Amino acid sequence: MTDLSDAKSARRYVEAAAVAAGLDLSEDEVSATVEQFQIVARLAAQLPCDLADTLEPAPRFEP
Amino acid sequence: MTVAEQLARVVEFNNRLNAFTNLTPNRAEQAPGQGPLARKSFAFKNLYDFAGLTTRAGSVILADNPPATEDSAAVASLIAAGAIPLGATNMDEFAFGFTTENSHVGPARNPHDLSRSAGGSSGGSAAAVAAGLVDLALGTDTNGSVRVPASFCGVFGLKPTYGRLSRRGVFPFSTSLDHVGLFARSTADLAAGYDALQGRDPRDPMQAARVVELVGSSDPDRVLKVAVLGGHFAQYAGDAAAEALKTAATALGANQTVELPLAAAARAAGALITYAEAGELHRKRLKTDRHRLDPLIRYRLTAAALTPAQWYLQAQRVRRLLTEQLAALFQTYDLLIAPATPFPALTIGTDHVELGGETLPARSAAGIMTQPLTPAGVPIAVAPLWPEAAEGLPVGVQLIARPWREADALAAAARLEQAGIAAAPIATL
Repeated sequence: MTDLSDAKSARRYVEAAAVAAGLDLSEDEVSATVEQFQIVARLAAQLPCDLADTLEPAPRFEP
Repeated sequence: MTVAEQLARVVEFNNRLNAFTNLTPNRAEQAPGQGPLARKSFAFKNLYDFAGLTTRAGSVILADNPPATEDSAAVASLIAAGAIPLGATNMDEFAFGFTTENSHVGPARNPHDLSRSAGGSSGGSAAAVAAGLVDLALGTDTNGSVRVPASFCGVFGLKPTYGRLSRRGVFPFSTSLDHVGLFARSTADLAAGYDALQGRDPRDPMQAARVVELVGSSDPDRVLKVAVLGGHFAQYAGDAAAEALKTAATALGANQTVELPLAAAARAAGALITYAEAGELHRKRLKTDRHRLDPLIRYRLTAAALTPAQWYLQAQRVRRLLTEQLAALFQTYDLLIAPATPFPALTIGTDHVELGGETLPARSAAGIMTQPLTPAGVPIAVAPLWPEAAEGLPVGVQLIARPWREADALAAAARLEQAGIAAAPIATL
């Protein structure tokens, strides 16, 4: 998966994605969001990257 | 004690605890008080709908909403079973935290040490039970929000199987992980409260089509094959948590340690799913009201709203693998045990902790033991232990059972309670 955990990549992504999400963020808000987004990106980096495409993306919980 | 006397006691002690955000004296006086929970008092996290009260979910943004017109399914079930509702409790804003350091109303304080956190996000509920202000309290658990406060406050807790209990009338956080949960000071009360909450609710589309399976009084003599979860759980267990786990393992005859290789990835997956679902849930509020959010979560939620779909779906795939890994362990064992938190209650305001040779953000580290397990949806009870290394504070142990086997988790908790190893004494205030 794409690693967005470095500050430059995270900022580029946040600036673009915020527009797509309809969030009008000030420069200070972008900076604060980037900091938090790096945490999210570091979590994503911990996921295994060799999962099968055919693996159903959620368990079933029926009894 | 009359209802009025119970409410007066809540008022007296809540000044120090900040566990309650609202009292419900009229409904308390009017409650029938007949049934299996007759005269048991209860509180509910303030994200449960309660007719006549605005559902705030810890936020000022919702505070101007009209009052709920109907009780949530869980509140209605407890009242129907005879329990008396005394009030709504403090929580992290929108349940997004492990410490109930709510900047709008102040932190919920731990009854065993008022300088410490009650845990979160259901901290007010756990604190109210630990202080003896109520017999039972409703919480919710998405990543550990029942289990962390149960551990910090030294009370018994239960997160049932995902889909077991109706979530109707509960303000959501992360829909594919949210669970209704419960706190009590004894396993008998916990089991009775859990039984009262069971039942099919055709108005909850997420509830599983599972028959009611009453646990009655938990059977401490039930024979269970128990193993200790090592790996990730051993790596991050502090001295007190490790001591509590060892004591519980000995009492439960658990002499095998097993690994859950996906634990770290599952923790990341649980967090990512939560971010994605909570971010989408609050996207409109982020557009218009983000300046009214608690500073601790404002930009966490903003970042959450931007989570790529790819990450979310990969996290859901990890969840499937985690479920399969746990199912493999449950072919050999009836129950797995692990600490509920890596340490006893944090001092309020703690930003970082040293754990497993790493410096970690303290608030998220509180969930390092619970978060890897939630995505599997298995039932987990927490039993409060009092290890010497915790110097008078409690630390909980998670009792993790197969899906739909809440009875096994509760039986193990009852065995620890009967042996005098686990206990939830009323805190001295």
